[in-house]
Amino acid sequence: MRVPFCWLKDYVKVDESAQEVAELLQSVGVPVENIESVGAQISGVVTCKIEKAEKHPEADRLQICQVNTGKDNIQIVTAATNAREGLITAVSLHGAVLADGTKIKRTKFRGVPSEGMFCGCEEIGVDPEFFPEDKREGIVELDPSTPLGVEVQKVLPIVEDVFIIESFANRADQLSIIGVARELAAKVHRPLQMPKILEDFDNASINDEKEDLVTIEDYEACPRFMARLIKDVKVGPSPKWMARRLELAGMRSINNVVDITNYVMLETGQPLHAYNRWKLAGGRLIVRRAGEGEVITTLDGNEQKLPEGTIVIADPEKNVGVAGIMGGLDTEVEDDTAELLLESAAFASGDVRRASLRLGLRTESSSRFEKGLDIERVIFGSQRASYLLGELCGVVESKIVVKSIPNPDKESIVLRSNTLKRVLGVEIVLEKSASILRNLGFEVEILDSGDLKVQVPSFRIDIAEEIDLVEEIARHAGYDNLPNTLPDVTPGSVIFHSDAVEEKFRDMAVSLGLNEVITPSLFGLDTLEKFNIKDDVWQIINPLSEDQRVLRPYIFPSLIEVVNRNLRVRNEDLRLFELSHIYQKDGDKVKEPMRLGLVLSFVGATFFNLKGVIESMAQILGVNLTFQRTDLSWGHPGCSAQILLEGKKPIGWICVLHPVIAKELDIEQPLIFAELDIESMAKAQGVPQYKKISRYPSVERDLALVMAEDVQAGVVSARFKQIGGDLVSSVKCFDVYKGDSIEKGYKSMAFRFVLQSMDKTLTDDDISKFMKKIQKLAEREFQAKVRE
Amino acid sequence: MSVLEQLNQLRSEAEGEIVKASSQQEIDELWVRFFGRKAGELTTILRGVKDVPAEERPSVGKLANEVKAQIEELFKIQKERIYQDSLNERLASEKIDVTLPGVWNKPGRIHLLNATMRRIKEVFKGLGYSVVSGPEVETDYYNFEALNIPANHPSREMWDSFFLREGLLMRSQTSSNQIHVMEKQDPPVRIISPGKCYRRDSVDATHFWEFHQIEGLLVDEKVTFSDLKGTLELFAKGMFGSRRKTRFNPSYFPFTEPSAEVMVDCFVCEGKGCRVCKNSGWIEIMGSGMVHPHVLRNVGYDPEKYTGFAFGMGVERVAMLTYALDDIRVLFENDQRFLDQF
Repeated sequence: MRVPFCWLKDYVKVDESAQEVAELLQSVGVPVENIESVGAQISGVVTCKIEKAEKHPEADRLQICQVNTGKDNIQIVTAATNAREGLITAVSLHGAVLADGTKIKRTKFRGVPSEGMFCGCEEIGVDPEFFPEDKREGIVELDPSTPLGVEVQKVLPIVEDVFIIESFANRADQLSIIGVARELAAKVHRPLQMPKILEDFDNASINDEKEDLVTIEDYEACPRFMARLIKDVKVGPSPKWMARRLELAGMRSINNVVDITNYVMLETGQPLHAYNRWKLAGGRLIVRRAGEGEVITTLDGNEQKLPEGTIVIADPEKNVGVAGIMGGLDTEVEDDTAELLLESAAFASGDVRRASLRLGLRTESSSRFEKGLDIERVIFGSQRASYLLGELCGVVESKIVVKSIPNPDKESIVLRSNTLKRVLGVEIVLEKSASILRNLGFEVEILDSGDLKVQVPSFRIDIAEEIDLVEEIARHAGYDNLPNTLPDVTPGSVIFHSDAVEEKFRDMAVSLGLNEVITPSLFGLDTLEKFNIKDDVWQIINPLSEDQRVLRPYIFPSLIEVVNRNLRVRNEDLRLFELSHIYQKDGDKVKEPMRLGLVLSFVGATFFNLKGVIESMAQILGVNLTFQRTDLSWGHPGCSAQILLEGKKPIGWICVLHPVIAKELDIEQPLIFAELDIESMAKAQGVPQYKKISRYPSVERDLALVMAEDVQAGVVSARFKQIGGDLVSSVKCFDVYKGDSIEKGYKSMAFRFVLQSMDKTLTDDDISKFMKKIQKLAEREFQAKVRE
Repeated sequence: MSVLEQLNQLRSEAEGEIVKASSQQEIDELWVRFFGRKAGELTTILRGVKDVPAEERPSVGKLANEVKAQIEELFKIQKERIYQDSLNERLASEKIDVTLPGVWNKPGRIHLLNATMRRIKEVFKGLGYSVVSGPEVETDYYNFEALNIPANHPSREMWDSFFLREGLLMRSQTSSNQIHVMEKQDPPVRIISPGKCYRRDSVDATHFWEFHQIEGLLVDEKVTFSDLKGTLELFAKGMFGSRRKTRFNPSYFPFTEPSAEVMVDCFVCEGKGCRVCKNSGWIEIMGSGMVHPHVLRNVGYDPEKYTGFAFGMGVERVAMLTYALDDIRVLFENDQRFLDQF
């Protein structure tokens, strides 16, 4: 909401600057997002006094003035007839900029030099109505007490400050300038000055069934309606001050009647609507719910199809308004309108919100109604409008009909004497609490017990219980005035960190030279297709765009997208990981296991680089992983593996990107990726137990074996290790050779054994016996031949 | 030639030859020439001493020992000289250009958001808070209702959410995890809960539809709003520097009351006013408040017995403020040149 500073000052006396007021408002929880300065950007115009004025010897209509600018005495030649000795006015000096952008320079009039120019309202962009009627022509006439030599912006309303306030969702009362003023007044301990109203409610006919100016069919939809019939209204332009204020508040001036309804809405928060009564069939209104298929053309010229049940204002023949949202075009007030029916009503907030959403029609009125209902405001708003109609449109009297439920009973809330201390941690003097609440419009009774019995004003629909009062007192006592203490927590709460596994893997991945990335957890259905993912996935039913449709079942598509984006900008050495939850369907339930996604892509990268990364992690954790050839719909069929924990439990996979997908993505360099179930890996990790280190020397022996091509090195070494037992501290295949000297369909694999005993230095005899045994085993089980 | 003459001659030969030796090999050859076991010149002379007449033997013997010692000394000196020369030569040849680039694996780095998250977590871990994660897919009850945001409440507008189906959605704030934690345990509760959140926000320089929050919750007997202030001030100092000041402005969240936004004096301009703090000298870093009695009641805690405070902050916002980022989107683009900066 836009709150012009000048308007706010109508209700509370303010000596502070706009900046200071903004800070005061912030401190009590009125969020001022910004202060906007609206108005002409003039500079170099200062207040001055004409010390002497003489006729120009060469020109009858010019005067030569000696001027005191506070600092200097200068000479100004002017044609202004009201320039005279002793006048305090405004002068633009050499270099000054005026409201229309004109730059002022020294000049000569018929040979007499002039250092600048006196200014009128137009030159400095001030509203002439700021001055009394007889002082609006010629150069400005300032108050004799005005100090000399100050910038004219400081003494005239040239730039208006407007507070941009984003009030909180629960504070319906702050969608009015009075509501904001009330907070300010309470904060600075000054009275809130309410605007003038016409106290004509006594003349109202209340719930008289014979008065059929207005009929309410559903009091839940509209608990109160105050209709005001006004004859002999003179529709015309609004006075400038009102048009200006509306403009500052972000509304357009239309005519005095419409402007009054908008002005009162901004001022009090009560939306009003004026109908041209001659266009109302039967000259009366009915509040009812729309049936099926009803329509209305609203003021904005659009035809609205009304959802069934929408609250409408109608006459006996047609709809004339969508309740609380917008009036109809047919019954709009125009320049020749002579008879008005003015509506001030309360509509059910839920209904207004739903209708506004469904119609896609959000208005100043609807945004006020949907926040909540204050039926007492209905009468005040109408009476305020009545006063202004009298002042500005010559309205002498009006006929008032009120249809309403009775005022709801006011329940009081008890604020117990110990609650403030219990919640805030500090005592607040009883009288102070009471006075804070009273300044905010609450009625407070101090009970003998020290409790406060509090009646909530109707405009504070957000206050329902004791804790709400605590907040009122805390914010006006000032949060910053409360002490800062540390909690005295009961010992015994167990400290446990659920992020430990994730952080462990993050550290490991980083230590292995990988960069962490974070990518969105949602992607498009096309991504599933691109990577040939066939999983049943969870989907978003209301995404903003199609790339937010799927809750990702894997991380790798996002990682490959990151690779691709980097390759396009020639970042070509990519070693990345991401830790994220993925989303799986478990019948009707959503499962969100944690995954580690890994990807390598650089010239020369191989499957074994990434396998090495994963093995390093396993080594650090002290868990045993094995890799088993598998098929993945996104992986190269010859270079995909399932990863098994302790030879049994599948905890992930690794692959080279399928060449067909790589081609579609236009990725030419190698791309290897993997995903790991880190929770399972971490669970397998025990506390490592110390193993004795042998004091005897170790020896290395190599053995090259020729075997059929499809024999896997991992299987062979595992078997060797099994046979070797304690004697073999490691066995690895370090070279695979296929070529001329090897028969087709076969390959040579070179294994390196590291042998060591805990008990003794191995003799040549021990070693050759062992190697013989291995050789025999290889021949028997793998049909291997020793390569000479 | 007498033995004495031979010795003197040998000495002068040795003096001339040894200093000329310029390599280990030459000096070794000279050694053999003089001291060789079979035909070394000095060895031969020494062997002849026993044939010298007995009366001359003492003087010859004396000289022989003297010459031997002198020649040995010459060898020692020359050997040392040769070693020094070759060492100097080697050192000169191994001289490198120390300004050439180093060769090692590139370091890996933690993503800026997680690095920020870690710093935040470290501060609270130090204050005895446990880290507890919760589900990202939530039911309406945990995301809204239990947090005192009933259906049709105007404040639901604060969170425009992604739905999987009616009543099942991507959590719009980590506060939902407050409920899970309190349902599972009795007070005292002292946790932080980091994680991803989702809102249907249009993307711009400060908004992304997926973002990270850290939620904090402390519930016990005797917890007060002043405790909230003290704790979060301590956090602000731990996170942004010990000289930082904090300020608390009233705010509104349905699940806390009283609610407060926490401001810290601008660590970019030291409070003088700059672009980051929009010339106010203060930066908002998080929302907070006393846990609403309705929320406590919803998890079966007695609000007459227990009070608590909760707070939540946007990790992106903290990271952007700390590292002077002007666009949230760079955090999710993962350009290598960005990742390598932090």
